[in-house]
Amino acid sequence: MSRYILKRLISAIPVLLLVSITAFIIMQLVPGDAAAIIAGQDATLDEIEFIRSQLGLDQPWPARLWDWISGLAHGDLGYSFILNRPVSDAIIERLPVTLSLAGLSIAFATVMGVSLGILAAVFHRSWIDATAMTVALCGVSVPNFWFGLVGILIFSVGLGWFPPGGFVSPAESLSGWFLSMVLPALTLGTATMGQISRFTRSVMLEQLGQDYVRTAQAKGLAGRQVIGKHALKNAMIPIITVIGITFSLTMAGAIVVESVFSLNGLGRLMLHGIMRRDYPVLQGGLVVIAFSFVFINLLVDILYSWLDPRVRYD
Amino acid sequence: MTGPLLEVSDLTITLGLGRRTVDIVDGVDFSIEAGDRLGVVGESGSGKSMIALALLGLLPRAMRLTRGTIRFDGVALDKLPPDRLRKIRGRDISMIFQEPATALNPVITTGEQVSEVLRRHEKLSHAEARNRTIELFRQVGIPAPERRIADYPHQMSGGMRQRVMIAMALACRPRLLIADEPTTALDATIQRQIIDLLTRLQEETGVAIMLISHDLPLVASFAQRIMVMYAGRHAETALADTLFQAPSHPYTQGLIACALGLEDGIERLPAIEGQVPTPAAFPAGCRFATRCPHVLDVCHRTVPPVQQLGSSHSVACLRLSELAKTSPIPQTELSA
Amino acid sequence: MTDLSTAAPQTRRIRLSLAGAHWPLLIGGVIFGLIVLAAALGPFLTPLGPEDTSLMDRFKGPSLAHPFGTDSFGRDVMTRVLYGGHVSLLIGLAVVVIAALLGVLIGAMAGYFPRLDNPIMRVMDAGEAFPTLLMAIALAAVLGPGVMNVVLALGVAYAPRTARIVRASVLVVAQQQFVEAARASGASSARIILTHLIPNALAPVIVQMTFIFADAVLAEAALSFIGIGPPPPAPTWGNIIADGRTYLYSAAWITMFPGLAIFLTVLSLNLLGDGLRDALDPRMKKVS
Repeated sequence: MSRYILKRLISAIPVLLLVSITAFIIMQLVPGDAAAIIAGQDATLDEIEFIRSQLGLDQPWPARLWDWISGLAHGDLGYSFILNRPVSDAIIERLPVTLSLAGLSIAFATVMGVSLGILAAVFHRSWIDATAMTVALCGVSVPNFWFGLVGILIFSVGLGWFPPGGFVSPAESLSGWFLSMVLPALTLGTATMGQISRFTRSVMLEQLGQDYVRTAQAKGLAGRQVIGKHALKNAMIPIITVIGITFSLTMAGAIVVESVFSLNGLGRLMLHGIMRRDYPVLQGGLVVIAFSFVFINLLVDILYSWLDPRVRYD
Repeated sequence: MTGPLLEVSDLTITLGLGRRTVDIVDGVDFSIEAGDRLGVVGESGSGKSMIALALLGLLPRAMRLTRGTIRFDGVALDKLPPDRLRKIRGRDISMIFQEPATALNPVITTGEQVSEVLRRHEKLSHAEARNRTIELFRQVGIPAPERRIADYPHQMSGGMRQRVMIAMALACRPRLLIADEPTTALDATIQRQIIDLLTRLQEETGVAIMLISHDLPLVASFAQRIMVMYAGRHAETALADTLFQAPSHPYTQGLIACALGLEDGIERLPAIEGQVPTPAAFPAGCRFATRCPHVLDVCHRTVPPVQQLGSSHSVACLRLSELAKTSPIPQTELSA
Repeated sequence: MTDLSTAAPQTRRIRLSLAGAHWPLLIGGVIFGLIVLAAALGPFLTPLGPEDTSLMDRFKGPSLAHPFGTDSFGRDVMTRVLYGGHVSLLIGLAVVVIAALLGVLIGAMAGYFPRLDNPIMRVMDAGEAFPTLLMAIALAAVLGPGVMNVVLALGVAYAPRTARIVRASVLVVAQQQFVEAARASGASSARIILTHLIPNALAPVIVQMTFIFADAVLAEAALSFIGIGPPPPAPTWGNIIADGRTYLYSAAWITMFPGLAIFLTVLSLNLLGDGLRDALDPRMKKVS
């Protein structure tokens, strides 16, 4: 088991390297003189030159790439001249907001999505199936930022149940944190919920047709055990993979949803980075999100081997 | 004992095919006494597995029980509400399936799959169920049962997996065990072992066993009585010895000729021409008419009734009186 | 016995799924057709221009004169939604074309030339480690605002998905005998790829293109909403919502109607994609 994890960890290294290089390449696409853009219109030539040398832009690209990669290896994501602080500091400060948002939204999407999918599969071709799949289809089709605005209009302005935006730290008030997160998490989670329920339905339908389900029925087990224990345990293996993949959807969606609900998370940091042409922040944010995606998928793989005894010692 | 353990009469299972329906099992009667060993023989498509599933109320969605009664120990199973039927399944009647590789859940340990039956029906605690499971594993001949209960199905061989299935089926000491092609997926030596195991367990526990197979010699080596089925209908039922000495249905005669040919290693098999028709193509009269060497015009139009040849011998063939003469059946028994 | 139990439900399922495959296709097709028609005929349906302001008519709620109401400049929201549809749908279409061309090219190369397979697919892996929307945001941010940049960014971002599908299909088809035969008779690789491999990958690619279209409409709207899409005052659905957001509490209609337009468009495309997949892919027919 631990050898398997070690093997997977090692195999992630080239992917991380490629991801870092991709982020680097994207940033090389900035047209014109990045140093001059960062320094702003009022900057003197000396200031521009200073920023240029600080960013290493006066060096050839292989040297810059090497600096970037070796910096990353030490946890150095570069320096923001606009925020006047290391990029990693700015990101770490914002991370709790984004992690709260992403975590809650994935939790919601998983619970709702898997339940709807199971219901749809168990009551195949009934009105329950049709209803669940309509909800799922609407979930994947609704633009989340608009859905969030509608949510604010109804539940914050209309009913006054939740605050219309802003982040409350869980250290400050746990209930306040939860209330502040309900609407954003639902908004961010709808699309993922739709994907997970559509996928769960098709996997469950497949599993319910398997021989072992008939065996479980022949044993006289109750329907709840046949579905919840026997079929779901098999279905969860591919479902976990899809949940891992939707994590990337969630992280990207967070940028938009944080903007709707005025949450100062990683997404809004990057958005401000874009507006102010703070390229180091953008590059750093990109790499953090991509790394977390690789990490989540690693976790999924390990979970996979734990759920599926057949791959455990391969 | 007032009556047979299981009494099935006029069992009819209907399959919906678009707007049409076909009776894939049509008016089958049979019964099993307590401690009996009944063999059910037929090619694939004969409806024998559907009968097994119907007994447990597990027919696929496209099929329905449209006629007939199933009485188990005096209780009409076909009229039982689902929750009461669930209490009987796995406890009083249990089943072994053909392919142990897919019939076992791949992500649950074999031990757990056996002990969950015990917990469900006998309300045993986890620890008690575990001990009983180890005992059952030992009983069905799985070596080192304390260790093997932690194995997943993929860690076992096909024969071992089928032993797990048998342990699971016998866990609650059922009175009837339905074994649907239990050895078909296994190689010859393992087949023998499994049949010997079933025979031994039957003698030890007194459970009635209904062994379903396409393999007539295999069934004959196990069962006291054999029912031959063809295309959803009863062809012939007799004691195993009678069936081999005096097969009276042309289909049974073909099957036996085929089996003897195999045994003697004769090159040219006197096999039955053609295949079982698909349900959509079932003929109107005798369903064997399309392949029968003794077919007459009337066979294509008339469904042959089941006729008694003796106390435990019944045949469904229009030409029974002529064809039975060719077999060495004593005239006295025929006229009885 | 086994052939009976499996064959029977199959005939039943195919019949039902054909009936089932037709209605999403039909409903999706009709809704999407109407939306395309409205967007194409927009200029003829409304006498007003999308940027015609009327200070007398600011913040008018929906009425006969302005079915979707007016915005902060007194512009007619329905006119803007119609013109916005024009822009949003064209962007979506362009994204699909670019993603398909890139994806088919890259996927066919990876699938046909075993030596290129691994390097190409590892690059695709890295590309996919960035969420599509994030990739598009980064590219659009770096390239600067503008319709062409948005199209390019989204097109590149969706290419790996298509490439993966084409590669899988090419890997299967390349093993088959008629390809062997073509190779043996001296056909060039380019010819084999163009005449044999790509046409065989077409069905899954068309399905995927429909879903990418849906995603691209959503992504473009999101980019516009956060201010890195096509710059205002050009009406795109995302821009109109971003404009209306400031007045969400007092003039919700500015936000509601373009949002509904996006929702309906994406919904119809998803229905269309589901229907096409069920109709074109015989393997999926059995599952759902």
